[in-house]
Amino acid sequence: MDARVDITDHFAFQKPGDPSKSILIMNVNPLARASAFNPDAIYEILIDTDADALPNVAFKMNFADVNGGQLVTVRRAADSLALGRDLTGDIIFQNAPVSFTSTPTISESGDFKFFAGLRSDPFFFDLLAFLNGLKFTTPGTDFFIKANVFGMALEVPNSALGSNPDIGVWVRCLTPENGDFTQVDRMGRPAINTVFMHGKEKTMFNRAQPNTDVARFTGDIVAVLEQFGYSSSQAGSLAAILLPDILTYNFNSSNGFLNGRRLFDDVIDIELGLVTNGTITTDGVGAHTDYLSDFPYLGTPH
Amino acid sequence: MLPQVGLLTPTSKEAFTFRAVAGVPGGILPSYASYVVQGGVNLATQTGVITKNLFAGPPEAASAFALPGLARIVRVTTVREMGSTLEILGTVDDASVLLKGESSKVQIKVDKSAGTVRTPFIDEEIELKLE
Repeated sequence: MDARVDITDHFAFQKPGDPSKSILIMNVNPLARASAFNPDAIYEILIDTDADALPNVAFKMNFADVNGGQLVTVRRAADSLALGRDLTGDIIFQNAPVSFTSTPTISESGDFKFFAGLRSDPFFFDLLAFLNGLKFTTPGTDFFIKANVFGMALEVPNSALGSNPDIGVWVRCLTPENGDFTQVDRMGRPAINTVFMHGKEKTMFNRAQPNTDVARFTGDIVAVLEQFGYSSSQAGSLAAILLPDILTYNFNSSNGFLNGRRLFDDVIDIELGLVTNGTITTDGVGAHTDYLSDFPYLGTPH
Repeated sequence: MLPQVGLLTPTSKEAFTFRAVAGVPGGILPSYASYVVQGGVNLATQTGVITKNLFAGPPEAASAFALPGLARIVRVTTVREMGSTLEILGTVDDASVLLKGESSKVQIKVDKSAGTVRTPFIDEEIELKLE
């Protein structure tokens, strides 16, 4: 996959110190292999306000190459426009600068703030122990401790997320294909695709819409969970929680994962315990220490 | 896609090239990355070079991106042929790339009849399929 549209993580949490706002972050470009965002792509943060696994609000970001740098335009599309694979919606930021150095350039527009650019990867995980057959140790080795990513961070008033505080959040990347835009990657909760989808199912999962997840992918999740010792009934119940692959978030709550996801939430430990039926409860690594206390919260790049 | 190299192809009477792949992690979980061992050896001179890399993506959809810190270049020091099996011994000369506890000495067993290669991945021997 094109690293520029390869989603690493996304986060949704109440703004620290201001419960009237939320922070939405979408990271791409693992290990910062690519040098810029894809100017032909659309990057979207999607909000479901009525629990039908379809977006009611979409924040759409597209980039332009300008004079050796990049500028980004951010739109907010609501209702039927949120469903579209296009650049419709009200412009919140037009031609905001993208930061490729250690100093983040933050754009402001009304109650909104926006950042896009190179940052320290907030994710922490002992990847090698995972690849080595889940042989985790304490302490483990954080593969991502010195990694960078490209981040897009939005500070939004909760009113821009709808009137129902219980929302679902996911992100996706669209790229042009045969005259239209095709969804090439998506993410709701962390690692769902990594842990449960085998072979070609991974690509199918990336291209699918959350409102089809239950029908299409419940079997994949149940099959993995059963091998970790869950009964069929238990596995089915867990699959019903994990699908559709959307991060549930109540914007009136400052709690973390499974309520949204904060940068420092140890989602891997939570998911390891869940997936392995309690056999493995930690990967032995903890949160990074370089998160910023203020917007854009993502740490200074290495 | 990864570059294609032939299945244990005799390139001369004494020389062989091969490429073998395994998805990791194995077992219950889907593969996240592809462990690729490939190279060539010369039975007559007991020499050769073999590379080990871990590419992002499972074998059926591996990328060309090698995860950093995990590439190894093995200088072949010994090649033993026993029936359809080759036992290859070698050394990673660049000790700076080795993980804590990882040996610079490498053993690779190529079983032509079974179509497999066995060699350590991190700290445990795993089986790769010859392509």
